[in-house]
Amino acid sequence: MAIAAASPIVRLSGVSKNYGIYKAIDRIDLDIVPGEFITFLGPSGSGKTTTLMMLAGFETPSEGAIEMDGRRIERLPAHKRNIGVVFQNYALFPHMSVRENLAFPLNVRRVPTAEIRSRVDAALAMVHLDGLAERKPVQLSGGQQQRVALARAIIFKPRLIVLDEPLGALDKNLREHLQAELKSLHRDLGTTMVFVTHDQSEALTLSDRVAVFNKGRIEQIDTPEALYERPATPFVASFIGENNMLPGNIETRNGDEVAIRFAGGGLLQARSQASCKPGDEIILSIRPENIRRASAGAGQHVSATIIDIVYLGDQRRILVEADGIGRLVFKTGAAGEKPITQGERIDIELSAGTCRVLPKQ
Amino acid sequence: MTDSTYWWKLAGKAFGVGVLLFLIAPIIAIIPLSFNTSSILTYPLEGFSLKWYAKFFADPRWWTAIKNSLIVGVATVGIATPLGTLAALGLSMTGFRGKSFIIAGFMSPMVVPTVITAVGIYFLFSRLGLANSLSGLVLAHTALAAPFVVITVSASLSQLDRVLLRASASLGAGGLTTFWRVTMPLIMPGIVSGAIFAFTTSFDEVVVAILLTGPEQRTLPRELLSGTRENLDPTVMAVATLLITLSVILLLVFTALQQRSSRLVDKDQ
Repeated sequence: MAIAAASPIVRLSGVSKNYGIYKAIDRIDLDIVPGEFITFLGPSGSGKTTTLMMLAGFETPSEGAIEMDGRRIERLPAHKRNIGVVFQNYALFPHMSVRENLAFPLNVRRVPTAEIRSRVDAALAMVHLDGLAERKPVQLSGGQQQRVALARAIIFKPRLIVLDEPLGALDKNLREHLQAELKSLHRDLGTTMVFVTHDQSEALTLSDRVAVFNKGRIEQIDTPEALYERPATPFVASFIGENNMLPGNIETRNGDEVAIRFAGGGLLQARSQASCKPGDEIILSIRPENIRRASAGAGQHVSATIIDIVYLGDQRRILVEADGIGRLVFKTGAAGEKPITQGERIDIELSAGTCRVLPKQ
Repeated sequence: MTDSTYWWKLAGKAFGVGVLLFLIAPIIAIIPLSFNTSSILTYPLEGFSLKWYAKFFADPRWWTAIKNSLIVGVATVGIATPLGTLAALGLSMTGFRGKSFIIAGFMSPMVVPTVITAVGIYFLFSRLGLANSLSGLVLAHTALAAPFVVITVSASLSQLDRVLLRASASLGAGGLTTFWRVTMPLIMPGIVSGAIFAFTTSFDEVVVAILLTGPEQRTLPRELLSGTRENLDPTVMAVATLLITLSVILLLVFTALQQRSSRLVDKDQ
C-alpha cells in the first residue's frame, strides 16, 4: 500500500497508560504517515481519547515511546510540540474576539503584526467565517465556534492536527456539513490529521485509515473498505456496520474452504484466510446485505422462519431463525419484491465467499 | 390562588422588608444628622447645613487619618491581592497532602475573633519593633484581608474551564504566557472583587488599629471611635456618611464585575 511505504510522521511504540492498576492503554503500536487522515474509532473508555491526549502532550505515557519526525516527544511539554488541537467543546477563549483567538498562536510565535492580520483573514475565509472576526465566541453558533476552533488549530501551520470528537456536540445536519468541509480542508492543506470519534459512519466517511480501539488496545488499523469487508476480529465486525455474528466450530478444512458446524446442528460453507483447523471455535460473520432470499438453484441455501419484519422506508429489515444455525438479519428492498409475512417459511442464500471466519475472543 | 397562600406571601414579603429595614435603618439614620445645623445628635432636625463637612475638611487630624487609612488600605490591597491570588492558584491545582490544613491556615484570620488576632499581633509586633508603625498595620491588615482574596479568586478559578489552559498550551503558549493571557483575564473579576474586599477590610478595621497605632498612625475608623468617645459632634456623622458613600460605590463596582463574569461564561455552560 502506498500509504504504509512513506516514513511515519508519528510513531507510537509499546505505549501504555496506567491509572493505578487500571490499564487505560495497553502497549499500543501505531505509525501515522504524513498527509493521511487517520481516525481513532472506539466506544467510550476504549482508550482512543487517552491516546490522543498523550499525542497532544496532556498525558504522559506510563511506558513506551512516542516519536515525531524521528524525535522522542513523550516527555516534551504540549506547548513545544507544534500540534494543533481541536477540542470537543471548542475551547475558544471567551474574553477574546474571533480575530484575537486566531492571532493567539501567531502572537506567541512572534509573527509580525501585518502578517498576523493577513493570515487571520485567510484562515477565516478558509472556514467561511469572513466578517465575523470582531465577534466574541458567545455571539457565535455552535457550528461557527467549531469552525473558529478549527481555523485556530490550522493557522500556525502545525505539523499535525488532532481533533477530539470535534463534531460530537452538533446536530446531525450540521455535523454532516462540517464533515464535508473538514474533508475538503484536509485535501487542500495536506496536513496530517488525527481524528477521534465513537461514530463509525463518521470514521468511514472521513478517513484514509481507521484504527479501531477496544479496551485500551488497537484491534485493527485499515482503510474503511478493508475494515468493513475484512474485519479481523469479532469486535471490529460488530462495531463497524451491522453484522450477523454466529458462534460455531470448524468441522473440515480444505485449502481456504471451511465447513462450520453450529450448535443447532446446521452446517455452512465459508472461506477463511485465517489460520484455523478443524475443532476450532470460531465466529462466522455475515453482513446483512450479503444475505438474500434464494431464487435459483445455485449457491448455499438455508431454510428459515421469519420472526420479525421492520419497515425502514427504503428497505425492510428482516429477522429470521435459520434452521440449525441461529438468528440472522438481512434486508430487502421495500417495494418490488414478493411480499412476505411473519411466520412464513423462506429459503435464504448465503454465499460462501461473503461468510467470514473470525477467531473467537 | 387561595386566600391563605396570598396572605402567606404577603407576610413573607413584609418580613423581608422588615429585615432589610433593620439592617439599613442605622445607616440611613446617620446621614440626615450629618446635615443638621444642631450640634446635638437628635431628631427632629433643626435645619440644613454643610458646616460639619466644612469642619471635617478643615481639621488636619481628620486629614491625617484619611491619609493613613488610604496608605494602609492601598498597601494592604497591593500585598494581599497578589498573595491571595497566588494562594488560590496553588490551591486550585490537583490535590496534595495537607491541602486542607493549608486552606484552614489561610482562612483562620476570618474565623478567629479579631481581638485574639489583634492581641497576638500586638505582642509579636512589639518585640519586632513593628508596633506604632504603618508598616506593622499594613502587615496585620494583609493577614486579615488575604483570606477574602483567596475566596473570591478561588470562586473565579472554579468557574474557569481547564480545557482553555490546554488549548493555550496546544497553541504554543508556555505556562507564564497562558497565565497572563488566558487565566488572569478570565479570573480578573475575582481578583478585583478580592481587592475590593481587601480594601474595605483594611479601611473599616478598628480593633487592630486601636492596639497597633499611636497618635501618628491613627486611621479613619480609629479617629471615628475616639471622636464618638471624646467630643461627640456631627463631624463624626459627616465622616460616616462619606465612608458609607465610598462603600456603596465599591459595592456597585463589585456587583457590576460579578455580572460581567457571569456573562462571559453564560453560553458555555
